[in-house]
Amino acid sequence: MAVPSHLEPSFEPDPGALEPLDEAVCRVLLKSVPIGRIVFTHQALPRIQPVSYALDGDDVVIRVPAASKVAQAVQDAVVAFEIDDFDEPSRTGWSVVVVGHARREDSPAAIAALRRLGLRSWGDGPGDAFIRIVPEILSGRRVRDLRP
Amino acid sequence: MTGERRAAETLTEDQCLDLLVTVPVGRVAFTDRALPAIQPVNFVMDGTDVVLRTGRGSKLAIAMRRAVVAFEAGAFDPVTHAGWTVTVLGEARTVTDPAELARLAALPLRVWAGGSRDHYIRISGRYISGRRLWEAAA
Repeated sequence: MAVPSHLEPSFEPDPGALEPLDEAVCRVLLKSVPIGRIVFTHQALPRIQPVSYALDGDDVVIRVPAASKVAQAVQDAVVAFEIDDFDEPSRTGWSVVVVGHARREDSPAAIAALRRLGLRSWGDGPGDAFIRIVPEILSGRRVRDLRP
Repeated sequence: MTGERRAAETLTEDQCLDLLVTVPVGRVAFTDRALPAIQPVNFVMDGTDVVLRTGRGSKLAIAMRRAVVAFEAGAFDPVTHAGWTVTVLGEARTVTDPAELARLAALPLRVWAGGSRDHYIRISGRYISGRRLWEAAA
C-alpha cells in the first residue's frame, strides 16, 4: 500500500524483527570476519569501500595504499565502519557499525606495531597507510528468520 | 613500496550489473544526524537503478529523501579475500507514483526483516563502478 508522503511520521525505529545487539556481542562479532566496509566522504559525495581490517584493542585498523582516496579522505574525519554476514537460504544475518574518528598512524613505532597485526591489503597502489578508527558509537542488529 | 602489484581489475558497467543481481543484500551509506551511517538492505535492480523497501518514517526513509547516497554490494572469499565490489552512486528518491509503485511491487524484492515496509526508494544508477579484487597481499 502506498502512503502519501505528507502522511509520513517523523523518526521512528525501523519496524520488524530487527533485533539490536548489545556492545559485548558487537565486540565478539568484530573478531569474526576479516573484511568490512568504510564509509567516508570524497569530493562531497558518500563513498563505501570494502577493506581488510584488524583490531588493535577496541580500535579498528585498516591498511590501504598511501595515495588511495580512503587514505586521503579519512584523515581526522568521522567515519563509519560496517561488517556483516548474511545467509540467503535462511534469510538471517547481522551487521555491526562502528562510528568514530579516523586518523592515520604516522610514527614508525606505531606502524611497526600495526604491521604485526598481519593486516592484508588489496594494495592496488604503492605504499601503505595504516588508519586507526577509534570507536565512539558501536551498534549492531540481527535479522532473524521470519519465514512462517 | 611494499605490496605493490596488480591486485584489482576495473569492471565495466555491464559486468557490474551482472554481478549485482547475484546477491540479495547490499549496503547503503547516508548521513544520519550529521554522522556517516551505513545500513544493510535487501535490494533489487530495475535497469540501472537500485530499488529498496523500507518502513515509512524509518531512519533510512527520512535520510534518503532526495539525498545523494552510495550503495555497495559485493562478495569476498573470507580466506583469500578475493572477490568483487560494486558501488552505485546516485540520488535517492521516494517513489510515490501509483503506476510506478505497482510496477516495483511486481519486482522480486524480498525483504528479510519483517514489519510494514511499503516505502519504496529508488537510487538512480548515475555512477556505477566496480572492481574485481584478487587475493589480498599479506
